[in-house]
Amino acid sequence: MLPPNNSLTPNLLYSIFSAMVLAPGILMAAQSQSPVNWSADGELLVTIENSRRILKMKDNVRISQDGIDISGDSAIFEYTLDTQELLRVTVLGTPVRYTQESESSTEPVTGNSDTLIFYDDELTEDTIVEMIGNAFIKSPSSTMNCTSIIYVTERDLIREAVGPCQGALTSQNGM
Amino acid sequence: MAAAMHRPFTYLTIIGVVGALYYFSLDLTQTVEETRENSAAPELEFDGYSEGINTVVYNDNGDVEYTIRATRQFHMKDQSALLEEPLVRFFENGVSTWNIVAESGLVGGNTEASARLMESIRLYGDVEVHRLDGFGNSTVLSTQLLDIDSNREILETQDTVNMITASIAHTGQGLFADLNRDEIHFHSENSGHYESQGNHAASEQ
Repeated sequence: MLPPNNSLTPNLLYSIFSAMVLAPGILMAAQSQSPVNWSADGELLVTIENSRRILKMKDNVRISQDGIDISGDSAIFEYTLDTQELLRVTVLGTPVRYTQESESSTEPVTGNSDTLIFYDDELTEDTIVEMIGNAFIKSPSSTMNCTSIIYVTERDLIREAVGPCQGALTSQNGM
Repeated sequence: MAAAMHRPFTYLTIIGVVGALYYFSLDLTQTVEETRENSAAPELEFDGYSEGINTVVYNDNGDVEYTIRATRQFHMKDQSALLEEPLVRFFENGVSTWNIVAESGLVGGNTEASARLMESIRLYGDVEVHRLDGFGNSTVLSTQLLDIDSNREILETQDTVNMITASIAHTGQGLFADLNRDEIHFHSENSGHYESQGNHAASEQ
């Protein structure tokens, strides 16, 4: 078992996390195309930019989708013009806070970063969360700090991480 | 003998009671009159009336800029016009872009209160703004009071506004919309909901 706060290369961490998340008891996560709710205390602008319908909101922004909650200072929602499908959401904050309920554990997955982008993967239809800048994620089984992290919510999988990274695994994984 | 002694006192008592009743009745009458004055609705004096009006406003190029229809119009003495069931339609290149309906509306006027409305239309009651984009997608804004600057094609309100599109339901406090730029600003207290049209279709099956 790794001691806490070991400095690891991103590739090594990536391999470890990938292996961990394929274990049973993975988290319940947002389903693709699930409804999304939002609220913001400040101004909200609806406009068209680059052939996309854009919603920009600011001040105490809160976004939720199934068991996922995100809060930040401002957010940008991007929709297709023709079908009005939600393409992606970009949240900025100091920091952006991320919480995802866990089905198998009482502890949620939590994280924070300077910027967070979430969208559905076009091929797999998984929900992807990109944490960019001072990215940190903590699940019941591990913690990880990187410059940026790409996380697949349905699989509790860190798909990519840009270093330098630090991480730790907890003993409850049986590893 | 004793009765005769009490008689002056009785008279004084009666006079006192009558005086008090008279005093309070005057005060009561005055209060009722004041109440009537306060509760009276401002009198709307009109000097003209028409039904089924249809006003067409053209731009410098001779293209239709916007039209105003109403089932009835009362021309008021302050030169404003009260509209019943108004329909305001904005056009771009001859195509209707934004359609706005309400229960009633007020246009123009030359009193201090209505001078601000010279180039604007104030709509009241179940105001709905309809927009159909090039893909056939509908956007509907609804509120209870809306000011339209018809020359600048600006919509404004401080009331609560609901916005419904095919996939979005949103509510915000206060609105500023620039129809030319296709921009809508909600001022504060925003909350909304997105649901994929695919989900809508699935749930309806």
